[in-house]
Amino acid sequence: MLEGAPEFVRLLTEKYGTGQDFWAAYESDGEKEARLQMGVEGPNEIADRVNYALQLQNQVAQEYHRANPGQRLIVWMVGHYDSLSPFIKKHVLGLDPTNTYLPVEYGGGITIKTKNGHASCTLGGQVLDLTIDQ
Amino acid sequence: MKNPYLNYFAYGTNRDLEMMAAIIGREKIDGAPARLLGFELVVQKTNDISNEIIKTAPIPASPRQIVEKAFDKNFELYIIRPRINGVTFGTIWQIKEKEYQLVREWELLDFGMQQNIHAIAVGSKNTLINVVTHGTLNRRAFINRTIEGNDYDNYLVMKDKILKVATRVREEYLARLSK
Repeated sequence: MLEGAPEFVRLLTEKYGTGQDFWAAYESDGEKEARLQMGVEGPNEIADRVNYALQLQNQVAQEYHRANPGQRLIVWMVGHYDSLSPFIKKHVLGLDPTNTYLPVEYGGGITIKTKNGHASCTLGGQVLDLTIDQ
Repeated sequence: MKNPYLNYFAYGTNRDLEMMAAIIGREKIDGAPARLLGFELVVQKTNDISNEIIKTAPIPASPRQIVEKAFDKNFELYIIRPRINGVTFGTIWQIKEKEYQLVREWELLDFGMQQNIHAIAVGSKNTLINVVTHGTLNRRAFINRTIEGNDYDNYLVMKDKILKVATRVREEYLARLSK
């Protein structure tokens, strides 16, 4: 968003500055109408894009296991708070990513385990199921 | 020494050797069947193609204007778009970077008809291969229909006509470069 949508970034910085208010406005989709007019990706679209990337890794992993039975595969994906947080909110916790706040600490992340078509991750000590192969 | 060849994943008409020969001007090209992961093969009609003139366009024309001029309003093209668990069948051709520029020219990437895509394909020996290809990253891109499986027609328009146009586009591109 920062690099691909300079007009939208300008609109947000003029109204909200460059600090927390900027990100709060973006995450709550407070300027949704302008964002859609400019064709800019919002938190929901980011969550779906990350979900697609993870589903693709799952598809690749299935092919890998077909060719290499009995092996374990670890896929290490690197991202940022602004992609991980909306994904977890929408696709793990089933929440609207625009009206909840889920911080991710520096260097933080999640581990998703998949086996035989079942996926899960642990958040705050709680094991949560994920939907894959959809 | 660096391998001078790219793994170009070609789908639709470009999976056919004659078409590739017309696009890049080389008749002997190493290639093998493959499946691209995470993308579905779809068909666009001219009304589905962007009519926007973008900043990177070498001349002020939209992709739709260009294809309608080169063919007609009944033109159809194959394109890929992201889909969870999608699979597109095609061919991985071994081509050089300069030859891929000819593919980009043919697929009107600078005009915004398609985007450059780095993806993963499964080769004929079930190996995972990093490939370069083109298509749209817009999962909601306008389409006319989806294509499933490997048993689809390579050519959506008259073969002789599209081969002639591809040859002309390549010659014009190379002539522009030599100026």
